[in-house]
Amino acid sequence: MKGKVFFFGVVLLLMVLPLSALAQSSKPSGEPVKIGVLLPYTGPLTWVSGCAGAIDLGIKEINAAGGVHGRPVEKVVADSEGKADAAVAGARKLLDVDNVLAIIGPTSVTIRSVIPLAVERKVLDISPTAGTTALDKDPNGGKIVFRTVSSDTVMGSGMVYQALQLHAKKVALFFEDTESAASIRGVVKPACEAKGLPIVADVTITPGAPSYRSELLNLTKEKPDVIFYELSPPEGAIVFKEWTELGLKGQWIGTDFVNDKFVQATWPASKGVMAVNPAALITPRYEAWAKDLEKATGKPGVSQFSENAYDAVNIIALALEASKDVSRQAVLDNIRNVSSPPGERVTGFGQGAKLLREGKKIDYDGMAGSQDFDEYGNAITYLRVVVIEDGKLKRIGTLTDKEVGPIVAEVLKRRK
Amino acid sequence: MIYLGFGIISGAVLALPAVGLSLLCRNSKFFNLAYGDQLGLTAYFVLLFNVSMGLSFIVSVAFSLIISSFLGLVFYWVVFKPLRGHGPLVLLIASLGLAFIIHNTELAIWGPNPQKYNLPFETGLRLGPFIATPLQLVLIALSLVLTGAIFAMLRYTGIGRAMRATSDNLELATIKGVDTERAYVWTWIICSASAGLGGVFLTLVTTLTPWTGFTALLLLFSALILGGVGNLVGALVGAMIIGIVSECAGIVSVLAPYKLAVAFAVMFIGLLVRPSGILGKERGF
Repeated sequence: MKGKVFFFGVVLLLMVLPLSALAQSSKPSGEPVKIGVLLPYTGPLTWVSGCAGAIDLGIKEINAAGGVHGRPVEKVVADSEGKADAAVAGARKLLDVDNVLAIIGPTSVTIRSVIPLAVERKVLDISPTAGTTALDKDPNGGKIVFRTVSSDTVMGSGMVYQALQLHAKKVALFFEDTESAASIRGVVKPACEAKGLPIVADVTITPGAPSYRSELLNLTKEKPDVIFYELSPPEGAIVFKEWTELGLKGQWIGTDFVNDKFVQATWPASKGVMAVNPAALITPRYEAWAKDLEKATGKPGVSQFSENAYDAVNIIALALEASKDVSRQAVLDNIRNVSSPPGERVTGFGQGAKLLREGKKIDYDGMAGSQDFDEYGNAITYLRVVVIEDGKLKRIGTLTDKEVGPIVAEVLKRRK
Repeated sequence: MIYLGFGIISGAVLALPAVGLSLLCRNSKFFNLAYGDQLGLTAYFVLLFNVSMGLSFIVSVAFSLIISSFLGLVFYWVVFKPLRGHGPLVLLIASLGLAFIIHNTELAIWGPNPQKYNLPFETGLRLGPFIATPLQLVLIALSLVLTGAIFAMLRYTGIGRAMRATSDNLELATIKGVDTERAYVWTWIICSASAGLGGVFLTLVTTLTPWTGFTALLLLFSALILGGVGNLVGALVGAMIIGIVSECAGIVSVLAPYKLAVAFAVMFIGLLVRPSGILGKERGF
């Protein structure tokens, strides 16, 4: 009799186990787990919000893998408008009305306005776009504030590395009078000094002027080989138009502001203009993901910061999955546990969640990079070198820590 | 000298809409804050016809100016005429509301990204110490011719005299049998067309965004105040000074970020020295 009971018990167990596994990956149900997305959906920085499509893809995959603790994940958006007051209002709406568990965003321009609120409410603010150097050693960095995109210190160093590759002997700076541009300028200057590249002109412009001809002539007086710049699309359209009209010469190297919208606004005057911006390594995994993203968004190409946004939503979901409860504190407590070593390397939510349910430690390696956060919540991601050709951005190179690392180290040394 | 040339280009682009705005201020007796957005809206109409519908640039401009003039008239009939008796402050606030409506309509339809017309790309020509593209030369010539045409119309035509009489003394003009309503209608038609053409000029030399109109409005008001409010020649002179000063500010790296502020500072200093503007309240034609 005992033998029969044992036999039926084993059979029952064998039947129940696969069912429970199936239940884990079956359609999630119950109260949605809300994640806030605070990006500039309107205003001059609208192009940044193109990365939200990757958040949708991430959420789709998370829900397909059974959701967080069996609950569906839901995205709630707010518009930062690229303005501090609107960003704070948007963050308040996400936190107080929608009761989100974490915020993805906003950009460099507005993040410092939102941080005090995130600190007050003890909620994770993870930005896929804010490269500003002002966050490099932010006191709340690594506690409340994290970012899945490299600091501008990395991008600015990459720009200088690219100028050296082009055998530049003299360089000039042409930046807008914005926080984002000032951040890059603050890296490029010491990086040039460290590498012995003389800066022969340093021009800052305020967006909104009807012409920049005089500034361009002033910029090229000493005939720089390379001009480092950051311009928003409307200013870029005027500057490159006037540059070509005046018949001036020099190689432009820009930042992550050089994207599809920028090309659309500035082509054909921007022919041959270069830029260095955050991007993933081209691997079979990335190519498959890019195809999934195109299918999900219905648009060709991968928008700027998509990889970083995708990583942000996966990290939040994994941090919640790693906890027993679903709360704001759970995200903060587990973000490092799921994204940094030690742990088994995982590249997606489904894989990570399975290991977490088995009680194993994980280390999420994202689409944009390893996403191993430093003391201040900064991650190192890869860079790509692009050139504008045939009205499109053409990738001509990839920069990793190997190329950029020594310049970054020198910039940090000088900053001290 | 080359910078002076750049300044003349910038000034010429502002000249026609500045004269139009000055005429509107003089006849309607209020600052129309929707003028800048009217300017931008016409530039968007050209974009619609030229880029979206594929019509030739000249035809697109012609259609857009007709629509812009008619729209200006509609604004007058629907918004400003009913409020005319409530004083300039009410009209000013109404124009601010209208400006927001136009701006947000542009934003909703065309989005925030910069736009440009379907025109071939040009490189500059060296003309002695100056550099200018053929298009910029055409714009300078057109601006001067059309500004001159407005002056001539006001001086030598019946409707021009009626417009002047209406602006100088409405009661007296009415007693003398001047058709003042007709004068107002033509003021709005001419000024809306001037604004529209100014928007097209501005888009040709720069780019078009929903903020183009507002930025232009600041420069136009500076030109107007600098030259003398309501003084048409003053507006022309003010536009040229604002254009030249802002371009010259760009030569000095330290001043480059503040080139618009420098233009406004010149206006401020001008007002301190001569509160009624450079050409004062003289009619100038």
